[in-house]
Formats: sequence, structure tokens, C-alpha cells
Amino acid sequence: MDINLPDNYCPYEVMTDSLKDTGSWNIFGLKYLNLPLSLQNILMDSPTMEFVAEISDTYHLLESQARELSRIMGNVIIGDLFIGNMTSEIGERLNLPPETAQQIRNQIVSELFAPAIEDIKKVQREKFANKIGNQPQTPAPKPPTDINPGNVVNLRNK
Amino acid sequence: MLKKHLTNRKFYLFVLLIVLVLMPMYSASAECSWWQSALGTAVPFAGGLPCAVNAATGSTWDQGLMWVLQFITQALAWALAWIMSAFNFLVYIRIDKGMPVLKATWTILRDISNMFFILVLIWMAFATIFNVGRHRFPDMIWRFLIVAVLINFSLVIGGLVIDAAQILVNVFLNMIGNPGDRLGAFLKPYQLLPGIVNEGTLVGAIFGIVLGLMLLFSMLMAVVFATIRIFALWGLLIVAPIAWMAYILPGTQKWFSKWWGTFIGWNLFLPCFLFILYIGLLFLSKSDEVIATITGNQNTGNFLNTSVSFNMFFFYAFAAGFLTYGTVMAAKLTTAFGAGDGFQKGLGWATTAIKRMPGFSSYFAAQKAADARFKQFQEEGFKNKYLGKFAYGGEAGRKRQEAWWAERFGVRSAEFKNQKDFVSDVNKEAARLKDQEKAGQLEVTADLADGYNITSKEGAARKSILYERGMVTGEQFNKDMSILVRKNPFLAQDLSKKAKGAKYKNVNPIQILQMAAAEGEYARFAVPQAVGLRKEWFDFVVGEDRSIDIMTAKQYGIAIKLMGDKETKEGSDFRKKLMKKRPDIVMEYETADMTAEKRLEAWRKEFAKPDLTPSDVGKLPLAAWNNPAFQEALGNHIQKLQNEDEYLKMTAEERKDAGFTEKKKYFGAGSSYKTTVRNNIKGTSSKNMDKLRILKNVASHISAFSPEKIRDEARRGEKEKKEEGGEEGEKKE
Repeated sequence: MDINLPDNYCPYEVMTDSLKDTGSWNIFGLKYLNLPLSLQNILMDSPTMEFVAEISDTYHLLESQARELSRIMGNVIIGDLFIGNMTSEIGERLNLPPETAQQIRNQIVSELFAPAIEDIKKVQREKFANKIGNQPQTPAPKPPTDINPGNVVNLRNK
Repeated sequence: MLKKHLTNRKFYLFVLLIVLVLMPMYSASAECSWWQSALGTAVPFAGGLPCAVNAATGSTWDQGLMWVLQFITQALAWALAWIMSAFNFLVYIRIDKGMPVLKATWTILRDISNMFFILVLIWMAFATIFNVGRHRFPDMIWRFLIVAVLINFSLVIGGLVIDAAQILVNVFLNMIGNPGDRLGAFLKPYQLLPGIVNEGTLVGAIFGIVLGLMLLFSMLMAVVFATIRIFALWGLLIVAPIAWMAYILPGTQKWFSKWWGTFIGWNLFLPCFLFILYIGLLFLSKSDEVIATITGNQNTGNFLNTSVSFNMFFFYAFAAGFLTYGTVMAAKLTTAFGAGDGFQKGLGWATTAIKRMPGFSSYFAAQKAADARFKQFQEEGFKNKYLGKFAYGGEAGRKRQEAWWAERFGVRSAEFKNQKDFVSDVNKEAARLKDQEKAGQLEVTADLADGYNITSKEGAARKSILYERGMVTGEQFNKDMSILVRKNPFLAQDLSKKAKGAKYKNVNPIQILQMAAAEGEYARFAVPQAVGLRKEWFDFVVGEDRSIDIMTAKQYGIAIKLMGDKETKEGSDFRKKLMKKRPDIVMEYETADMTAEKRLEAWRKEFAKPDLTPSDVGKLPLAAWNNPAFQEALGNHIQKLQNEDEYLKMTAEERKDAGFTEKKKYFGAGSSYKTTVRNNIKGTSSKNMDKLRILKNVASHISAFSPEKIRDEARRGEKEKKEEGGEEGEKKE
């Protein structure tokens, strides 16, 4: 059993652990208190902690890795980290192969972030407008072509 | 500007007054023969009345006044004469049912009604077929036949009733003669109104005008009723066929009854009125005997050397009385004879008509105002505004006297009763002032009560309005309360409650807290009379962030003692409210003598109560969060929650049953508590950031899930299993 301090699985607790002076506290506090409630909840609710613990079990993460994962999640939520860089950050900071990092990232986005994805997008759009602009745009789906335009009679022109 | 003046009634009155006053100046000895000729000499009642101002004496202003009085007496005499003549004329009018217009209109309505007989017959036929109760042929046919015959005689039948009433009228008229002339003969108005208004007859003229007006209004009432009676009877005769027709159908029979009630009522009105008038005139004719009986044959003389004697005054008042109340009594008597709602309605219209006549509406309004003023005079008495003393105390004065003597005799609570009565009077006066404000006669500004003593009714009422609207400054508040605590604590409480309603708008809540605690410069409030007030202030302070933030444990101690400790309901309620805002000071006060361990235990108990949920903790003001004792207690509580978590007490089996798997872990009650507290710290103020920081510091790294504990649990489980296995093996052997 590898469970240790519950705070290690809580993004809020992990992020605030490093805040030593009032100035940095105020910067973090402002970001946190400005978040919508859905994101505040993700930062510190039990389901988040359970989720991180589950990931840790699945990928056999060490205590320090779980803690770093919580921090990355927290950074994305408060807008300190661009969601597009999440995979590389997980790989680098947790020292994991890119495939595993990609899997963990996908699991986080599809399971934990899913209920509050619109709020996360909003925060990310505000903080990383320039990066979002440079992302390759998905081509818009083409409108269906008319099979036989002659079949449609525009009554307004009659 | 000029247009505005031209539409202003006061402007015309002013011009009239100027003209009236200046006219005598222009010609002080002016003859008023033009006036007499304008009135004419044919009016018998006005004979011997004044025609000129006696210009021989007095200043120009005196003459002006006398001229005005002369004008009024002349006009009054003229009006009386005409009203008397009109009355004579009206009582002798016979209701001529043969009048061509009346007969023609009645004929039209009768013919229309006859057409309806066909419809009624068809209706009866259908009602009989479909068995509609009370509308069937056997139910209605008798009424139908009677009406079919009598409807053609409805005018004659009405005429018979009128003639019958006229016989009665004639009896009284024969006995009375011309009522107006009789009244004139008995009342001798030429004695009442002096021939010439001069210094010698001035007071008499004023008396005469008053008595004359009384008589005028009384006569007018009778005249209006007599007039309306004629038109009412004509109208009723015209609609008689419809009334008869209404008798056939069950649903309309009430109209028939109503018509008869009204018709008989108006017919009987005049005989009844004349009967009462006859009795009154009989008294007047024996006036000498009556007055001799009342005064015991003593000479009563005249009032203030005027021409008005007691005899005259008495009989004028009597005549006005029987004329006015005679009309009312006649109406009541007539109603008693069976007259219905219609007659009552007619009387109502007549009364309204009188009240709406130009000039008379003012009279009735003035009468109402006079009644109201008299009532006020009775209640409040009369105060000399220069001496500030009551010439007559009224009801309020009587109460004051009673209370004063009650206090002297040591009657229990007498002083309080007096003070409470005063508060009630003050509120009444304040209501009056507010009415004045609505009418635009008073402007409520911050200086409304300047120059007024708060212990006077007027001053306190003015203050009351200012308090109610939050227009009192902290300094004034302190000053007023200091005075009233000694003079009238009930008033102090009343004003304070009003100020509380306006949230003590201009008073600093910190000052209110200090006044409530009777600290420093406010120590004067530490008296028994101020206890109620101070409780009120503490109650306000609890709901006010500015003062609650600086409240200390010592101040809480003062408050709870004032309220009889936390065991009383008042104290318990106050403590409960404060626990939601400042649990730190409550606990600091209550745990002051405890050891650290006991103190933490006491805090734990409070945190477990529903009055201090984790949500409440999150909402507590920063002042509470900053309290070291609170921080220690909160951290301790969260850690304890984690340690004492039910999860830890579960066996592996129980956890499995509860749905906890290796993948679905549980992070403990301490963590949940912390999360709920943090979720309730809302808003981006620096205070909230401080609260988040404090929470982080006091409850970081809670360690309920320490590996040691889990290992211990697991070992204990294995050991138990082994022991159980050994026991079973032994049993088997």
C-alpha cells in the first residue's frame, strides 16, 4: 500500500505548499479565488484526490511523481500551464516515456477535466490566446454537395 | 406670473378684502342706499335691518370692520328672508298628479309595460312546460291578472296615497300657518341683527351673525329636503307602471317593494317634518313662559351689553336644533313607517347635495375641522406658548396629573406608566408632523429639532422623525441617549429602535459597540436604566461587520452578563448569533480559566455543533481567523477528525462492504472538512487570501493515512485472524 499523505494527491495542497511569502500567496490566492466553482472543486475535492491516487496505482507512480502530477494538473487549471504542453510536462517532470505521459494526459482530460472542460477552455483561452492562435486549425467540415440541384425548387423566386 | 395670480382664489380674496377695507376710506360716511335698493324693500324679513355704517365714530380701520360686518348682516338677513319665503312656498306645493307632462310620461311607460305582458305570457308558457319553479302558470297567473288590471290605475293609486298624505300636511299647515312667517314672528330677527353697526352694537352684530348662520343652515336643510321630495314623488309616479310590472316575476318583486317603500317614505316625510316643526313652534310661542321657568323669573340681561339676551340665544339655538334634527327625525320616523332603501338613498343624496352647494361645503368642512380641533383640544389641552404652561391640560393634562399624584403616593409602576404615555404622545405628534410634511407645510432636514428640547413632546417628536430616517449623528445620538436614560428610558428605547430600523445610518457602529459596553467616555451608560438600551445596541452590533470585527472577549462578557448569562433565552440567542460571527471571542471568554487541553476540547464540542459548521467557519470574518486560539483549535479539530475517522475503525471486510476498493480510496473526514471550509471562502478580497493562507498553515499535511497506522491496522487484522485460526484448531483437536 503506497498511500501516504492525502495532501500529495490534492493539486491545491501541493501548489500551496511551495508558497512561503505573502506576495506569492496573494498571487496564487487571486488566481484561485477568481476561478469558477467547478475548477475550484477540481483543485481540491476528494474525487480529484482519488483520481490521482488511482493513476498512481495504475502507473505505479512514486509519491514524488504523484505529487508532481497533482501540481501539473493544478497549473493547467489555474492557467499557469498551457494544456497543449501537458503531455511533454508530464513526461519531463515525472520522467515517464512519452506514450505513458500521453495516456495519463488523455485520462486526465477525458475523465477529470471533462465535466468542467468549458471552464478550463475559457481559462486557457484567456491566458494563452497567442498559443491557441498558432495551433493548427482543424479544417471545417465541408457542406454536403447537392446531388441534383434541379431537384430543389426555390419557391421564393417563383 | 399674472396668469398664476389670476387663477389663485386667494388672490381674489385678497383683492376683495382690500376693496372692502379701502371703500370706507374713500368715503367713510358713504351711504349704503345703493345696497338697500339692490336688495329691494319687498323682503319682509329684512325690514328694519342696518343700511349704513355709522361714520360718526372710530378710526378708518374700525369703520372698515364695521362696514364688513354690516355687509354680512345685510346679506344674512337677505338670505334668511328668501329661504323662509322658499320654505313657505315649498310646503304648500301640492303634488299634482294630473300635470300634463307627468301624465304623458306615465302613459308612455304604461304602454311599454303593457307590451311586456305578451313576453311574460310566453315566459310563463315555457316555464310551465319545462317546470321552472315559481315561474309556472299556476304560480304567476294571479299576480299577472292583478297587475294587468291595476297597472292602468297606478297613477290614480299613487295619487290617492299623495292625497292621503296631503290631508295630514293640511292639518299641520292649518295649525301652523306660514312656517317661515311664524318663525320670523317668534324669533324677532330684527332684534338679533342691529340696525346700524357701530362700536356700541359691534359685539351684538357678531353674536347675531353667528345665530343667524345657525338658523340659515337649519332652514336650508329643510328647504333642500322639501324640494327633493317634490321631484322624487314625480319621478316615482312616472315609473309606477314599471314598478307594478316588476310585481309579476318572482325575481323582480323586490323592486316593487322598494318602489312602495320609497314612495310612502317621501309622502310621509313632510307630515312628519311639519309635526316636529309644529311642536317646535309651539315652544317658541310660549317662549316667555319657558324662559321664566328656566331662569326662575330672574332678569338674565343681555350678553356683554349687546342686544342679544339669553332668551334670544336660547330660542335661536332651539329653533336651529329642531329644524335640523326635525329633518333628521322626520327621516327616521318615515323609515320606521316602512320606507325602504330607496328613501334612505334619497336622503343621502339630499344631504350630499347640501354639502356640495357652493359655500356650504366650506361650512361643513369647517364644522368637521372644528370638531377635530375640539377633540384635539380635549386631548392635548391648551398651552400658552409664551409661558410654556398649560392653561387647560385636556386629557393629556389629566393623565399627567394622575401620574404625578400616583408617583407621590408611591403607586407601583406609576412612573413607568407616565413615561410610556409620553412615548405614545410623542409618536402621535410625530405622525402629525409627518402629515404636515406630506402637505408641504414642513420640511424634514437635519436641523428639524434644533432649538427643541428632547424632553418636550414637540422636540422628541421631531427627533423621532430624524431617528427614524437615520438623520442623527453619533454626537447627537450620544447626547440624546445620555439625557433620556435618566429622564425617560422608554423614550430612549423607542428612539433607539427607530434608529436601528434605519441601521443607525449616521452613527459609527464602533461607537455603538462602545456605548453598549459602557466603556471609556460612554461609561455613563453603565446604569440600570440603560440596560434595555444596551441590550438593543449589542443586538445591532452583532449584525454589523464593522463593529463585530473589533469586538473583544471582554465586551462579549459584558454583553452576556447584561443578558443574564448564556443560560437565559436572551443570552443563549445572543451567544448563538455571535458564535456564527466571532466564535473566537466567545470561546476566549468562556475558556479563559481552562487548561490548553480542556480549551481544545471545548472548541471541539463547538465545532461539532450545528451552529458552527465548516461552511460557517469559511465565512467567519478575518478577525476570528487571526485569533491564535481559533487557529490552534481549528487545526486540532481537522487533525482529530482525520484521526477519528470512521473509515479507520472499519475492518477490511467492512471497507469492502462500504464500497472502498484499492482503486477507490478514501481521504478522510479532515480533508473533507478542510475542503468545505475552503469552498466557503469566496471573493477575491485580500482578507480571503489571508484566510486561505491561515487555513493552509493550521491544517497542512494532515496525516490520518500514515503508513504506520495502516500497517498497524493490517497487522492487527492478521493477528486476529491467526488467533481465531488457533482457537478453532484447538477446538477441533
